[in-house]
Amino acid sequence: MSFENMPVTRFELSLEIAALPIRLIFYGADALMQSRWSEMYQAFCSPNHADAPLVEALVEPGEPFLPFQPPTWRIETSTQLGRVDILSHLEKGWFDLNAGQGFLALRPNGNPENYLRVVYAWRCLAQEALLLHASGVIRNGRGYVFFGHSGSGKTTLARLSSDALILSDDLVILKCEDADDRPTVRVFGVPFRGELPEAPRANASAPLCGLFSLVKDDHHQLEKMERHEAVGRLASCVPFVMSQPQNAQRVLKLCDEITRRVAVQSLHFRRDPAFWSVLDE
Amino acid sequence: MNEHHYPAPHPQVATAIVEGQAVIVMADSGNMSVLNELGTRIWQLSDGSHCVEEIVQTIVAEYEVDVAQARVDVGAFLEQLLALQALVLHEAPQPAG
Repeated sequence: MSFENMPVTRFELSLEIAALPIRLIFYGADALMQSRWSEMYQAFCSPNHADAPLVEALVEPGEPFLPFQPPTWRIETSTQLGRVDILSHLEKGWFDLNAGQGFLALRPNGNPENYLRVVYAWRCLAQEALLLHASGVIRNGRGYVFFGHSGSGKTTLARLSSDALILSDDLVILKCEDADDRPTVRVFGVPFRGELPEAPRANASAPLCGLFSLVKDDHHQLEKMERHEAVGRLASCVPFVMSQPQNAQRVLKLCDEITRRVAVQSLHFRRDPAFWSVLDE
Repeated sequence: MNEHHYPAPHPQVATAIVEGQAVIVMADSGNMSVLNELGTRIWQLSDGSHCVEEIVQTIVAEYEVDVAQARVDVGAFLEQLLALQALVLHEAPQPAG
């Protein structure tokens, strides 16, 4: 499929997120959209990767692809033979993991972010990495990841970390690596945001020093977590890919490996930055 | 469920044994459970090749429990896993793998 000959504006974004490149070519995006998306993804733009997976995106007016049902924002995914289909209110598309190509239709007030979230969840898993529902920061050169379901306090902890570089308040990528022959995990920032859209979208990564499952409380305290519980809790925070049993099996294997390399603890916290004092101990 | 049924993992279930305990994920719903040591042993035996009564007898032998109590406990636990859609029941033994 190609829109090269269509009489509409053409705008290209070439991104690299956690060393995974992707090219997006938009047709029909007006100057405002181009400016907004360029700014949003600026830190993740990288020189053209000619062989990067290519997504052609068409912006055209019309009814929502999926009716709005506030307050829920729905993203539906389905898969067949290596192709992921993605349906949301203002975006509808697919990505073929084997062919490395995709298509996205957007309504004029849509945004490629939901599509990219799903595509990167699948691409990460294919590369033995995990897109995790978590907030992540880098402080003194070390990565900290705070994970939990919606409402657990991920954004709150990012807000309370004013002296740290925020990687994201909603999603981070974890990848196992061997640094100096030592098995470690690296945390990568992503250009996706939750409730902190104003936070800079930092394209940075760091060795992970701890994974923290969030518990709202009236005091700050760290609690040891058994590894089997940690694997279960981590896997429950992996979005978009778990509906396929073979993926769920791979996620469990990766969570098992990650928890062998990096300690997982429960972080009880209240709404003030003093939680860092228990992490710094 | 009766003693002649063969419990087996639901096709939508993924499992990992981490430090001797089973972590099971129901892919359909995203629900997740961590089983204790006895639950993990029952889960491992629920591989489609053992009927409920064989599972009970194995638990009796390995944990030195009363057979009547084991029938009650194993039955209740399997019912829980069936309710979670973590297991399905077969009328005949299933091939391994």
